[in-house]
Amino acid sequence: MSIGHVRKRLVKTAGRFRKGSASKNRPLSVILGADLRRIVSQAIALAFLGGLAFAFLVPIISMIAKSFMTEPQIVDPTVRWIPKQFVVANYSQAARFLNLQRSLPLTVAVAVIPSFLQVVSCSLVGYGFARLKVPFKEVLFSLVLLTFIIPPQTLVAPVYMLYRNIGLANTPLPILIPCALGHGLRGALFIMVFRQFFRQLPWELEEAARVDGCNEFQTYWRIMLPLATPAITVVSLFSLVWRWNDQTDSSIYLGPNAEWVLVNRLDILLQTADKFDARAGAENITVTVFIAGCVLFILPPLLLYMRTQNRFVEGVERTGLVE
Amino acid sequence: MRLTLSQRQSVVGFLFVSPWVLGFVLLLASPLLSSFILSFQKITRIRDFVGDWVGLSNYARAFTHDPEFIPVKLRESTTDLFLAVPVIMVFSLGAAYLLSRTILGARFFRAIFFLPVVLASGPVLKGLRFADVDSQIASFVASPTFIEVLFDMFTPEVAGFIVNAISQMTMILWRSGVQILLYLAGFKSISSSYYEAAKVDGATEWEMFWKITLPLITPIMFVNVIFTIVDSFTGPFNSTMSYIMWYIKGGYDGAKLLYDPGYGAALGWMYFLLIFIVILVVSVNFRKWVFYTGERAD
Repeated sequence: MSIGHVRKRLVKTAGRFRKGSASKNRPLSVILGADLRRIVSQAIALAFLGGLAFAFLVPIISMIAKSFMTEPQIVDPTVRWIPKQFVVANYSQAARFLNLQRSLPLTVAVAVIPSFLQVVSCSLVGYGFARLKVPFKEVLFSLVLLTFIIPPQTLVAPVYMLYRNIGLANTPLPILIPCALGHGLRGALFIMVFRQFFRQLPWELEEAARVDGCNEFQTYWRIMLPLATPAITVVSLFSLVWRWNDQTDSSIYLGPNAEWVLVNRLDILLQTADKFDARAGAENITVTVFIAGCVLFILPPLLLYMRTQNRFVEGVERTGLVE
Repeated sequence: MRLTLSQRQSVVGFLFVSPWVLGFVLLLASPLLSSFILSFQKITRIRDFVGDWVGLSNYARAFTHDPEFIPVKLRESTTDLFLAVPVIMVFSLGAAYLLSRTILGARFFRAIFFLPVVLASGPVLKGLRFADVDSQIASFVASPTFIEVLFDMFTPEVAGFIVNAISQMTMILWRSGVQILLYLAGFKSISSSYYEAAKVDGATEWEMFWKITLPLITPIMFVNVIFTIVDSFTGPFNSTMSYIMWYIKGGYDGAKLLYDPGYGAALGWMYFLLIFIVILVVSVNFRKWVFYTGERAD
């Protein structure tokens, strides 16, 4: 093979590697050097990311591994990752304790309905802040930002008294009403997301809608909201997941039903497992059963996230959250 | 009555944001006010939430009589802040930058880094503590010899702090999912023409990072700093937050039942003031470094 031939082939591979940016006239050493550097830097980046990803996954892997172990095994220093024998009974026990037939419908309802309300209300308010003339807009929006840094838990007592005084304690309404008004779990953040998204859409959309005879609400509902799917995806996933994981609201307002919300059920399971050592002969709830319960608990949000991951990330990029 | 066009627009605009304003007045302003009043009271009849006026004594108690609030809980919270915020900021920027530069598996890694945001809830995090994650990580990173060397080199407090920091690292990194995502979106929004121009002028990757990427990403860095501070101060595992909650809702610190909503409200207000001051100080100082493309320095 002649030198020229080798060079041609190298140029070809290099070109394939970096999508046609290789020039035919560059000396061989430059091509080799540039590609080598590229490959090495990619390899280093991959190694770094791989290590970090592993550190991120260790807790989850360790949790899944331990969910199959017996209790003595999790303190056994010779067993680290792979259980000596797989105890699938942990899962059936956890599922029985969590009582999925009863708790799952309630949990899904408590997550889905508020997050739907939040999408509607926060997009409405966000649209108002982004596009319409609002008196005292600056002041109102800085109040929105301010609510973001008030931890809602610190207001639990007065808010509860408020609902009790109007007779709404022990109903789901104290969870639903804030969401319908653009508040609720991190409502301020969702208003900001929608505001940023609507701000970057072209004004011609509204002008055309007005020429065609839409009023502001019709413009919002029929033109702007359908365009906002990236923002809607982001907000509804966040809202669903944070609701699924939230303990404060569900434990305070749902009264006797509170214990059937999955996250509280899991907490009760934890307390039962905690006490297990003390009272011998009680129901056989060990720590490993609780860990299996945790795995069951994270499964639905995990599946939801894996299904929507691409649309979600794209949504974050397109909401212009970062401007 | 006839409205001018501009008045009509104002009315319509206000209608759009009115749900939020209504919610703010009913669900936030009035509870804020009653919690402020509550912070000057001592509840005597729990059932009806009626109490006696005690003036500033709830506030004074936090400074003079509470052995936990300032020396233990606030200290833990601020330690977490000083440890977590720099780590999360550096880590999320680095990870996002690497992610934006890799060809292989960027999507896969992105999914992993965001996973904790989806999964982290109270009981599950407790479950992870059961799974003994802290010591697992520690044994990966810090071998016994390394720890011995540390203890030889530093005073026990410093060495203990370092070992503690290492063992908490995964759980701190777990809190950086949102920040990574925001940085990634930010990198995407930087026009590639800057990089092309810099490459023509012979800039290296390193120079481009410091002179193009970093300045243009400062607005997002600002958002991320604020988000991380709020997240660290108000998260469910912040020890001050749970301490305040014990007083407000009634909870056990060890075997002792703590329940005193008036005192809890006073603590809450002081804590909120502290968060506000921290954020104010950070914003004022950070603003100088933030670079907005649209702005002109006249």
